[in-house]
Amino acid sequence: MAPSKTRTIKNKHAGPKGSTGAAAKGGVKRSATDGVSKPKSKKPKGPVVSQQVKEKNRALLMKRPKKKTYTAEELGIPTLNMITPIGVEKPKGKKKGKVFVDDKESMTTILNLVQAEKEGHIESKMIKARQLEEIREARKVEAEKKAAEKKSMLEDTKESLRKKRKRKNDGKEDNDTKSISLTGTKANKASRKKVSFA
Amino acid sequence: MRPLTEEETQAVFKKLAEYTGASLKNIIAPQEDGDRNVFRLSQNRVYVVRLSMANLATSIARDNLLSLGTCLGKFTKSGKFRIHITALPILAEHARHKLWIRPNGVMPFLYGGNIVKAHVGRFSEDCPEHQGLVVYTMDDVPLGFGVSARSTAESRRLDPTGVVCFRQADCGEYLRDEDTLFQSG
Amino acid sequence: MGQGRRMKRKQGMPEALSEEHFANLKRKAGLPVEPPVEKASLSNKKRKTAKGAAAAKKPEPAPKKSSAKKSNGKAKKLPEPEKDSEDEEMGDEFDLDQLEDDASSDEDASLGEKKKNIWSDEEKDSDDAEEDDSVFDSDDQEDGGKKGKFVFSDDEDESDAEEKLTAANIAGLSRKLDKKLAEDKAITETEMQESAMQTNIDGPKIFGDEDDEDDELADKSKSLLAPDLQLLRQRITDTIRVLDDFANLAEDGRSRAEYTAQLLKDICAYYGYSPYLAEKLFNLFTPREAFAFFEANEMPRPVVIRTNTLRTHRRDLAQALINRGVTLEPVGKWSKVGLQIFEANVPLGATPEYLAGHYIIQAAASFLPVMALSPQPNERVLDMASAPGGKTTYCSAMMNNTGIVFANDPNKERAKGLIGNVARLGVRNVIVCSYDGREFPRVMGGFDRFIRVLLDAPCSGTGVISKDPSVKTNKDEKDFISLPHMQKQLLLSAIDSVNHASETGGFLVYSTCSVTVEENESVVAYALSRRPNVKLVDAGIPFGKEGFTSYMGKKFHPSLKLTRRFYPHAHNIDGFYVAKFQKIGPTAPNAIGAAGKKNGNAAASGDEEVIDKTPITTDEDTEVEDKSTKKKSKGTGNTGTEKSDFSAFDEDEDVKYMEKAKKNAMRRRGLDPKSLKKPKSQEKK
Repeated sequence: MAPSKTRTIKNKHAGPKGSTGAAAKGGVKRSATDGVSKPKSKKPKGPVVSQQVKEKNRALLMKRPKKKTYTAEELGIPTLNMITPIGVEKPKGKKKGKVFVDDKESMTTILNLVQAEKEGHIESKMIKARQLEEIREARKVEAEKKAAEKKSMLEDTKESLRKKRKRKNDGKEDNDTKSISLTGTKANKASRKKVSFA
Repeated sequence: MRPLTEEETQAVFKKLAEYTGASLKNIIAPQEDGDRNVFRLSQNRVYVVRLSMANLATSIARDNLLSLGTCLGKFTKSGKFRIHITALPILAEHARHKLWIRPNGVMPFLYGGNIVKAHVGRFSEDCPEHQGLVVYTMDDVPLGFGVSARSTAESRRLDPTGVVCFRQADCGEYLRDEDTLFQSG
Repeated sequence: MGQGRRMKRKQGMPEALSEEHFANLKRKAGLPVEPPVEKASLSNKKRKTAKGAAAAKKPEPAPKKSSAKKSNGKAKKLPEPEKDSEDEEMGDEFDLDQLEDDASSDEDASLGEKKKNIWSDEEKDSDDAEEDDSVFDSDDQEDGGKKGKFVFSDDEDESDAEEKLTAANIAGLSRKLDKKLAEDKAITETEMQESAMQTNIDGPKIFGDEDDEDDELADKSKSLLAPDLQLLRQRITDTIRVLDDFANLAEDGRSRAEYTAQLLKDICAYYGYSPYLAEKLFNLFTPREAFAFFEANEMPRPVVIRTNTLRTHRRDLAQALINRGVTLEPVGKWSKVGLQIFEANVPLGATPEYLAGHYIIQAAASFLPVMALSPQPNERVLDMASAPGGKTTYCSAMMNNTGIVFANDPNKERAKGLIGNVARLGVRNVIVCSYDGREFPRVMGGFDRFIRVLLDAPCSGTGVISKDPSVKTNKDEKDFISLPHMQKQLLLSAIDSVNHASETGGFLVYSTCSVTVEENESVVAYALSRRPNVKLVDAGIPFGKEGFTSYMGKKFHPSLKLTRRFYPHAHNIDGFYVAKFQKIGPTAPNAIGAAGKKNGNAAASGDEEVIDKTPITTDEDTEVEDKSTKKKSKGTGNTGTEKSDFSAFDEDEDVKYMEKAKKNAMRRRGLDPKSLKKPKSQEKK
């Protein structure tokens, strides 16, 4: 096992491929040999001829097919009948198919991008949440304040009413509150009972 | 089996980043023995696997290759990435926000239920709403993952039956969804 | 062989196989089993007054001691004494004071069912045990002895948790004691019976006065009438006794074969085996052992779980499960990861621990091939028939998630369960694929690509009848030809996949969950003959019986002694067979296609041709052939020129075939084949 040996080609389709027609031709030739019809098509022409032709002529023979290649414009094929719709330019010299990401660098780049984005999302969410929280807090405080105010108002009115009623025995009141604060309401009740029974 | 394209990689990372923090980059960082993890797509499923393993797995024909390394999830027909429970070990390792559930909440969660406030033992601070969470037992055994229903602060005020976390995947799926969870070739 | 995960949850409480079963049977038959209670408690009192609770290690009172000795002595007379003692050493962790245990376990019997409670009481107030009455005394002593013994063998951190485990496992312990007790009783029982039988001059009557009575009985038993089953059983035991001591007990004029035939017939009727399979299995053992084997097949094996060491430790897992109300104990000293389950109040296949991948339910037997293989970190391992994944994940755990495990299973549906287990257990170094195992050296593009290979071959399952009783009837002669044939092919592919040159490896383990010789020794012997570049090595498993070196007239290579057989009645695990090979030379570029190793396809095509040569004949034929070829190949192998082994050997054979073909051709043309032969052979010389 030698993991250190293992590595993949970095983005093998990304780089510019053989751009000229020669490369394309080479590709065609190779596929022809791979094809099923190989023996039929090749036998009569290629090898037989090449064997008979002498060394000097061979270079010539190799050259000749180059001239035969025509570009699409040269052939004057009507553009409307193309498979690729007009306006969509097929990138030349590039192989079709997907571009894979398998090297560390590009993966890291993508990851960083994604994470930055995510970070931003989360951050904004957090900020939003915090703001909401603040607002809520503020509201809460306000509500509390209001409640307190109301309560105090109520207390005030109560107090005023009580004062009105108990104005007559003013001197006794001080004593009363004192005993309440000392003994609690229960004691107060009991004492009141006593009073009623007595 | 093939590597992911750029878009696919992005989709996968986006999904993973829902749950994980900055340490996610460790899964593609080179390991001490010179190996590193790569993503591989086989029959719509995404696997994270050591490169040496991925290279060896090329010997296996597509129809015969059923699984390798750790399965993260799968791409749906519409091109979205769906994360599976099998990704839990990776998420648990790099989790950003965590939720610990009490023993009495474990079984309800493993049966596929959402997590209610009463079952929450601990909860990461500062978790916003609708954020990916990894769910643990109180003794730190990862059980699954989900999405927070409220932020941490809000869920504090929730009543005991209020949902804190929507379940997305749990270990119980190994029993419940064995037929659909894995590739059958 | 693992089982379906869902099925496992439904398994009942496992029972350790012991003589207890026979004691139960006797109880059923109305024979006395329980010893008088009075005696035991009396002796307790005596001891209590004499020495007090502290005198745990002192010798027992005289009557007790003698009885213990007697039972020990009797144990030696039993058919499989060494097995028993081995078992105890392995699984039960009983220590030197075995004798004492024997004695005191007798006393425990007097406590009967209450024992469990008493024990737990005892745990709490062991301090003031001395004040306790005599009944508790014996327990206290027992307890003192046990505490040290009952230990989890992975001793990373001992002390405190140990006590908890002991406390929680009281039930398991008491069960063990029960077992021992029953064992002793059964021994005395059989002893009594035997002695009674010996005084009986005539011996048991096995054959009726008229022969047709047997058939009548058999017919009746087929219609499943209960009393007849009882009779049938009686007759089986009687016949076995006669066969044990044929000279004295046999009826005049009856041959051994007659008795055996009758016994087989009874076994077929009683247990429901097909006659073919019953005979096949019967022939593996002595009559008494065979009976034990058939009996053991009627009882479930204990449920065993394997700790996933990638996620947790066995002690932690045990504690967690005990907290869930599971009664368990370590499966034996031979495994540091196995836990035997006695009782579970929760479904074991759905606990949070299970779902979190802390353990897998895995038969004890299927630990063995992996232990024999013992894969090391950073190796490349192939598991050729891996579903449902128990062995694969065990491999990965042993390798600590490094290296690579190729888990292959031809059945894609079963592979799903395999993937599930792999994912659940958090295994990351597995590649799951689905090929026919026979394609394997080709799949990887050539020979010698794996450091270790595990082949748990598909088999007839005669070792797991307790799990799948349908085996009793649905396996016929054809299966025992076709299965070994496939196993041979698989084994050759497996051998060709192993890399002999690796420093740590070059090992191959072949295992089946079958006990038949056809699927085990025969297959291994065949592989040895076909691949002179492998040899058998010790499997490194501390128990099990040696593989056969001769069986029913066939002789195998003596190294087959190194293989291991496991039986349900002897080891209380599924019937199993494990053979470990080491590859000592490279796979030869094939004799026919001189293709190099680099060319995977060419090599494979050559390989297939080799496989095709495998004769589909009866086993006798292959055996004979094997023997001759093996001798030849071994001879050349020893000279050290391993590379030439193949070509030389194959040329020889080719010449033979060519000559034969020529002769045939001559004959067809009407010529005399002998006329050709002489000059040719001279030429050759």
